[in-house]
Amino acid sequence: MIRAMLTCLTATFAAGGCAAQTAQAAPDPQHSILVMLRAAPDHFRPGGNYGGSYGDPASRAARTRIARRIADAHKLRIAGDWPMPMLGIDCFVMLVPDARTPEQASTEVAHEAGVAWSQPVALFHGQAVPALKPDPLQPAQPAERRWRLDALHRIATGKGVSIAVIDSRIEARHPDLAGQMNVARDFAEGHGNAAERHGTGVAGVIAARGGNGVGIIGIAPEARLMGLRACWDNGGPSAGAATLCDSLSLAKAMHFALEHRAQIINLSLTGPRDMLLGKLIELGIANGATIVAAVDPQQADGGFPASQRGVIAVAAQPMASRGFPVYIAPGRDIPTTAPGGTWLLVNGSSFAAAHVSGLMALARERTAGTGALTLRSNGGEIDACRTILCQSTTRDRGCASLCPPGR
Amino acid sequence: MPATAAITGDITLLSDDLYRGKSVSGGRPVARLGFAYEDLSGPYAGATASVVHAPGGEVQLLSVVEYAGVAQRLWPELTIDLGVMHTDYSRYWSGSRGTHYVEVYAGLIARRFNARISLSPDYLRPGWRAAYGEANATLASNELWDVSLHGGLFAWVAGGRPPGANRARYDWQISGGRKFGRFQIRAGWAGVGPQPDYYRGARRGHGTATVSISAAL
Repeated sequence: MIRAMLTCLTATFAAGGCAAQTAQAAPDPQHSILVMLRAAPDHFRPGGNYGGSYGDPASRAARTRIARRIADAHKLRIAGDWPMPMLGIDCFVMLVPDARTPEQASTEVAHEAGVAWSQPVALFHGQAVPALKPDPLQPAQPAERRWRLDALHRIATGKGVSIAVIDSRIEARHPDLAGQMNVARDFAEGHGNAAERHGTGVAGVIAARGGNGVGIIGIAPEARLMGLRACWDNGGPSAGAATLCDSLSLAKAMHFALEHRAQIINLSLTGPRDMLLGKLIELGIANGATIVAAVDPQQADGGFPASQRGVIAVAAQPMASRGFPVYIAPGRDIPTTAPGGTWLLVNGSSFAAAHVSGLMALARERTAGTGALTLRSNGGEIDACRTILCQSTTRDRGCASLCPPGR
Repeated sequence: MPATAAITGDITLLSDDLYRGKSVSGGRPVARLGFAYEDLSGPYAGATASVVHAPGGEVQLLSVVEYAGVAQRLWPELTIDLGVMHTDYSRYWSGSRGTHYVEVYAGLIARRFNARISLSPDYLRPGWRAAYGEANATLASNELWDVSLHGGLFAWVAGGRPPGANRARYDWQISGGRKFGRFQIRAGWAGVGPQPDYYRGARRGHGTATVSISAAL
């Protein structure tokens, strides 16, 4: 009997059980779909060294069998999966090897029992505008003038607040970012390991070290960053490289951020409305996270996720109403960190959003995490001082009088 | 099989089958096979069968466990689990005759922590009432590794208990696991008290090292 058991184990091992759990190339949006299978709730299972076992590979293997059946029935190929227990689903990547569009394939699969939903893999874009010329860092940051950054830092520095930067790879060893990240994870496999411009710049705006004698100071220099790489700079390190992300890489990063209780989540990117990301964002907001996203000025609706209810939508320039509040923050000629231990000037609502993420960290430090944060105006130019001091009308009565005239 | 349900299976090899801190295999290696039916709406039922590699080289049936329950997500990170379990131990463990008992249990499962309480009206003998409470925590984990801690407290509540047995005993375990696809290898150190464990009449001590390898089918 023992020999039979060993034979069975060996056969399962030989059948590919040894593959690393998460090694998978990024899905090709033109030929891939995401199929979300519902996961049964965790339950007791006898076994283990303590007489019971919760959360187990056996359920995941059963879902994989269901996914294979669905893939075979619809002539698809499974390319990997990623459980998302916070949504109660297992997300399977399936390749569409024939002439069907991802939209056609996901519509076919969506009707299978056990499938919560299916969707194409969407591409998202960072909201950095290429600098007109590669200027060196200038000593004055716009936030110093517009937000009185030095005065803000006498009130709060974001100490102890966790901020998830879901972006391209951050240069963690940059002189202005060393020690600012307590988590670095890569959810965009297959796109290299070099530090990237967009993520490094966003991180610098949010939390560059202060008082170190070099570079800039971030809006929240004592916040703790989670560097969650879900995007990649497409086209190498050139100033004009576009920053891209896809539904799955973003969803993995969002799920991680929510599991690890990120208090602020920065999404300096935009793309089409996405059900998987939308559900994760809803969950995050319901759990008290503050989610900040960059507006796409080229989109009539401002783009997603900025247009999602509850997300703080930020732009670098005033714009016509999009049907939801859009907040204006510094986003032009912003000096920030860049790969190679350097600094440069950047533009775009990506960096305006980063300013607001840092500002919300200052506000959260002031409220000690007690409740959701709000911006006091119905869109428009942000009053940074009032944002930090006036989160609670009962506690901070008369707070406006503490702020200097203007901003 | 409705597509809103699934059959799960797993197979495990253990260097020693510890149950609530005490070895039920007398320190001998055990192989366990389990199957379960899981419905997406929450109900589940399953069974496991364990065999032991006895002294002398023969393989004997050790135990059969049947269980059924219902699990419901209360929030995204909290599930409540209620169920009933029936355990049969063979003569290998209990001596001249086999023994069996029924337990009802209730548990809460969060992302990195779970706790459960079990109550039996006939633990090892009719009329011997017992209770067991346990808590389990994942101290550190990523997609491949985890380090987990377990603590449990067993008590004879009413109706009698084995001669010489303490009214209550505790058990604990710290273990680490590494996944290789469908496989997982775990190693741990378990302890029991206040009385030491005995393996087939021989005093074993308070602590035991264990190793297991399991595979999802």
